[in-house]
Amino acid sequence: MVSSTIRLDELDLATDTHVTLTMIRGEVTAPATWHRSWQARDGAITHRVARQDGGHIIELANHITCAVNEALDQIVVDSEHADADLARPLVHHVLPLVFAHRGALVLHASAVAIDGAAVALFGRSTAGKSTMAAALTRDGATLLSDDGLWIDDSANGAPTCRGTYRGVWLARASCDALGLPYAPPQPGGKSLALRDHATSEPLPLRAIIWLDESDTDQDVAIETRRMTAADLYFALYDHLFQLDPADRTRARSVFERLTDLATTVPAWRLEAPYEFDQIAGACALVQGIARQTSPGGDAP
Amino acid sequence: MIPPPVTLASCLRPSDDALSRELDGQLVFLQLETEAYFGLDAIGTRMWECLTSAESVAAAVGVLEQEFEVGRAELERDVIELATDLVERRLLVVE
Repeated sequence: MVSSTIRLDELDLATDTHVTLTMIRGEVTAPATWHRSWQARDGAITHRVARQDGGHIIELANHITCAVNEALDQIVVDSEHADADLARPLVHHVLPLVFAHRGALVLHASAVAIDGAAVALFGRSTAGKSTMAAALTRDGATLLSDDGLWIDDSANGAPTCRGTYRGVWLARASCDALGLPYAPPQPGGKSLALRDHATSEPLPLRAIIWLDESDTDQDVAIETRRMTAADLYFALYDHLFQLDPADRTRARSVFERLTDLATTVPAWRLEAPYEFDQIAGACALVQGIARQTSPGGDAP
Repeated sequence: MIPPPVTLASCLRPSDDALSRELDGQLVFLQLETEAYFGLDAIGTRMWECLTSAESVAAAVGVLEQEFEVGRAELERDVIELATDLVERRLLVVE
């Protein structure tokens, strides 16, 4: 249960998710130093975190600063933005960090369900994860996650995963290329699409696809290669939501869970030019992998 | 603090601040203090096994010499180079 005085219509946790958290507006004092910063491809800082007064401070690029208390059950949001402008950054960035610090394994990934099991899509920022998830959903898959993928350990060794909100945020160019409506206008220039094709229920994670943007040379073939467990571990670590990377107890737990995941779930690197006219071919390869890894499939 | 240089006489052990796990024949690490991760390929993993189980770097080289078709001098150079790198990354400590 997330109680918030800021409207978070997009948030849609699975029914068996138990989170007691209150989010309110208030004043937050920025720390003198930041512990860790994350950057986009152009070098701009996307967010940074610090410890303060037993709790944590999160600063997002768009002038939103949040204070998370020590008990991890209250978030104070300091921002001049209207609720409509706050919902996406809070659901996209802040809540996954808090969920992760409360013990969840949350990764920056999109995911769809094909034949009842999840295929997770990883890749660098702007690699096309959301667009690929939307394209697969348009072709019949069920949308599971756009950006924050919550991984649940399973007693029988098969992890499950879930998203934290319904829908996928797409830029106008992606909507146009996929034939999806771009409306209504949303903050950040993105439109929330395919809400009616999404589920928040946990599903078994069957395969991981790493979107590897190749040279935009049109002659480059779209191809997939199996990833080693070690390569997958490094890739997953880079896409981890962590509120406090210096917390050793949590770091040990995360190391165990990520290495378990890397040895449990098969992964492929999908290399394709980042061009909209290549999406159909890339989707076909992902759908083929989903079939190969399904029960009774011919997994390579 | 600058760690002591690795020599053939050095005795090495895994750092208490480093987590490691073998994944399909390749070791991966997480250094808790620097928050950096690192990996070794199959040959590096075998060198790590010998370096952390032998009494000295020279003894590790002696074991590896039986397994790899490479001259002693070249092997010593490669092992010391790797060990030095792992010490600088705070994955190994010199005792």
